[in-house]
Amino acid sequence: MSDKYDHQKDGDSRDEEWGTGGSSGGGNNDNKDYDGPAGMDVDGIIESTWTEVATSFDDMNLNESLLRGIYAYGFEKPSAIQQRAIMPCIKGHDAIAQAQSGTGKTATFSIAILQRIDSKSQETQALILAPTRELAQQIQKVVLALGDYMNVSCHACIGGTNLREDMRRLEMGVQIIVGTPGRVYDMINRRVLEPKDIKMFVLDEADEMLSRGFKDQIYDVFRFLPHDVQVVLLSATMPADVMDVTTKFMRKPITILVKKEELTLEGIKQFYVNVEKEDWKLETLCDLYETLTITQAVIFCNTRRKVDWLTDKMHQRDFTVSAMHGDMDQKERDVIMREFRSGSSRVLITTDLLARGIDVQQVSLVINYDLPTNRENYIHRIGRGGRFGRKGVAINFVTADDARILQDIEEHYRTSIEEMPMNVADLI
Amino acid sequence: MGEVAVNGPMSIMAADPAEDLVNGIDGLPSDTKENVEGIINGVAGLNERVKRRAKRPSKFLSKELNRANSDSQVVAPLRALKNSRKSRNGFGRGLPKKGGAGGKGTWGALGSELAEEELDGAIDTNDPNYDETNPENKEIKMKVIHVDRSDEEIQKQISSLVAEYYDHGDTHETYLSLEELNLSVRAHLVLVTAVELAMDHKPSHREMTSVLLADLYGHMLYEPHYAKGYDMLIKNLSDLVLDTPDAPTILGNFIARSIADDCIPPKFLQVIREVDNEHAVTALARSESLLSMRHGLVRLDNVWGVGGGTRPVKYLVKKMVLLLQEYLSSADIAEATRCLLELEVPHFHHELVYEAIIMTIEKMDDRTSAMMCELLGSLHRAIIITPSQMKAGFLRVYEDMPQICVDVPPAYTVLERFVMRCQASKVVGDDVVKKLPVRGRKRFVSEGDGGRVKDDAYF
Repeated sequence: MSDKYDHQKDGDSRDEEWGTGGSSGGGNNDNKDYDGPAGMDVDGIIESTWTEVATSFDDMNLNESLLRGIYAYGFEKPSAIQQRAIMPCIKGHDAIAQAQSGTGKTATFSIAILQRIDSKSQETQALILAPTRELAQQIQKVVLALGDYMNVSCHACIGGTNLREDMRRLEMGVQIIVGTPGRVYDMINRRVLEPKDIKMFVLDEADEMLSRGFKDQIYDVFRFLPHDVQVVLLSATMPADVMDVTTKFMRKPITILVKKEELTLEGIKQFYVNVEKEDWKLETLCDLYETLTITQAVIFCNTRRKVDWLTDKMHQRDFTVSAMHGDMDQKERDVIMREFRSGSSRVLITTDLLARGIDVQQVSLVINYDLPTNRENYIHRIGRGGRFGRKGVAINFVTADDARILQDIEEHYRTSIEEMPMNVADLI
Repeated sequence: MGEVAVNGPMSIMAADPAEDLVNGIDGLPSDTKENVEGIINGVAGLNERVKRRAKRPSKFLSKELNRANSDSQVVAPLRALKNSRKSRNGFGRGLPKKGGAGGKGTWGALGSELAEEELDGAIDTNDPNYDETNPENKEIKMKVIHVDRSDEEIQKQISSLVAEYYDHGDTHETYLSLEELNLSVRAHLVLVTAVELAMDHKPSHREMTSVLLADLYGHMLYEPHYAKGYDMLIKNLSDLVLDTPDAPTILGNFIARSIADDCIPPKFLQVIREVDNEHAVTALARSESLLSMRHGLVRLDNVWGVGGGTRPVKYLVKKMVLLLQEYLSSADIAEATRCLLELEVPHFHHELVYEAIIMTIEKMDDRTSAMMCELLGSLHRAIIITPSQMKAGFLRVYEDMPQICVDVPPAYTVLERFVMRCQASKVVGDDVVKKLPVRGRKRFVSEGDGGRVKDDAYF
């Protein structure tokens, strides 16, 4: 997430003139730096009406304690959207930020909120709407993690059995509130949420919220907010109903569009190994072990049970592997991840769910011990973001039954997966 | 789900190894009662005696007594103890031990201090330095206990299992994991949690949830569970609707699907009828109308739509062609967009671009060309089709041109016109236009390259 778009030298922020039109950036030399492989289209990938780009968190004039939280969270450099959107949000502009999911939109508005919050006042100062409870909880975690050194309060309204707890917390006074539009509106109606001091109103994943039918609720919530509230809208896509919201609620919004896809398979060598039977996968993996440890490798299984089983089998054969287990909490997972990042462990076994949200993309070898059931997961396993770390090798274990699935993956991504050559070690 | 219980400083652990030893040697069945009698009647072998001497026999004996007392047959062991020559006052008579090395005022047998420390000699609970919390100071026995977990805790565990299921799609695997949770009477929570979670997720995940609920029937979930679970959800609807405005419809779909999957009888809808909440009424009405539809039961298989990355590519391609054809007749961009999003395959959107262009080429008329351009333009502006997907679609057509041309001779001209139109409405960038293939002309790298044919024009 960190160093995808730092095309500028030495992190000095300087004005850039991104065209506001579709492909008007064609003549701009800065655009050329955006993408590694020659011939990749860069026109119109980023459109922005805000010309300032801050290529480092240090350049954003953030609170000391917030900055500490940002680095402690593991961020090193701001992503494309963060470079452009954090500053205008802090300065109080209304903003529309579009970027694919997984490019750091949540952190973008979280940082802006934390910078703007008055930590002495216990009144509710920022309100974040999210499409689902699940996402609301994730956002709360990010805000709390980034604001770890700041003494801020952030509560996610979940409702259900927690309703009483929600109301108790809100009555005590919470500075930042996250929730679905319906839930937040309910809280305002119950008079446990006092909106008069809210200065920032964030709509995360606006397209998703509207497609889930939250339009009326969003409008309802908005009516209760102070009329000078700052509105920030984030979305992966910009369909007509999202544009409606922007025109209704926002005043002279700054628009930042990062149309670039988060992940790409370009530059990744993809191979398959015919293992015939499920039982032969283990032997194959053991044969490959030497190759794995040349660099670091992530092995994906489909289930946690399989992860446990495989880890056990590998240990029995005296291979060193670490694994994400199902019953690990976030802390333990972080420890495993840190071990892996620091290089003290070289092979990590995991599942899609357990690996979600962790940046395994710097790893140059990925093994699909099981092919993903949902093809959309394939790119999340082996795709890379940005122009760095584009090199990589993916090896798919394919049983006789999987042949069809592999072919579907090739068609789905318009990519080719070849039989693994003997000299695969040379490619890593 | 085993939990660890830490018992107080009882000498259970200390006693057990000795007992086991006895059993091993004498071949007695490891029943405690017989065991006690065996020891007491002096049947035990030499080895056992040595072992017993290593610790204070009196204490051991009194413990056995206690054990025997706690038994239902109180009398028999006591009688057996009657003739025991062991002291019962807990201290012994102070005589030298038979081994020759022990007894009051002696140092004990060589090395016996080690054994004593291990057993119970060295730890003094009255010592001011005695640390009650240090597990090493205690004899710990592990036993399996069933902790009364709260419903919330269970739901948390279930939802993480279901979230994983969304990735791997293996119902049997999920069943095994759920089984480990020992839900017994609270199995209906599986249904409640899964449906609540599904409300937060995409239609394809709702489909998977329905499949899971159907597959669990007869293994973990039975009719009463479904009834109870759905009943809970219906009562909770007014809360659910806050986070998911569509909750009544979704729940209605789930109930109808469960009925179609023969998990609950259709009369469930009548039984549960007496509800006064408007959302519940909507949900039940939804189920009823789904079920009363002609061929309703078959249609219910697709109640969650037909998308998702788990469907075969060919199937998705067919769906995309269909939605394009529908668009050509209806000219409804919003509907076409909705259908595309419903497929939930953002990384496969290049196929839509490809099919749209192919269709334009095959139809050859200006109307199709204009409409397709408008559709692609709308999807492009909404960033539903990303620039790279758009480009991939066009390049695929370029690649296939020689083939397409066989069936549609004017393909190159139509394509060129379409690409120009798209360029004008900013759907594609200049680089895509530059790569536009031209028929029948060999393209050279440059004049000075000795006439090398540029065969890798699109890569």
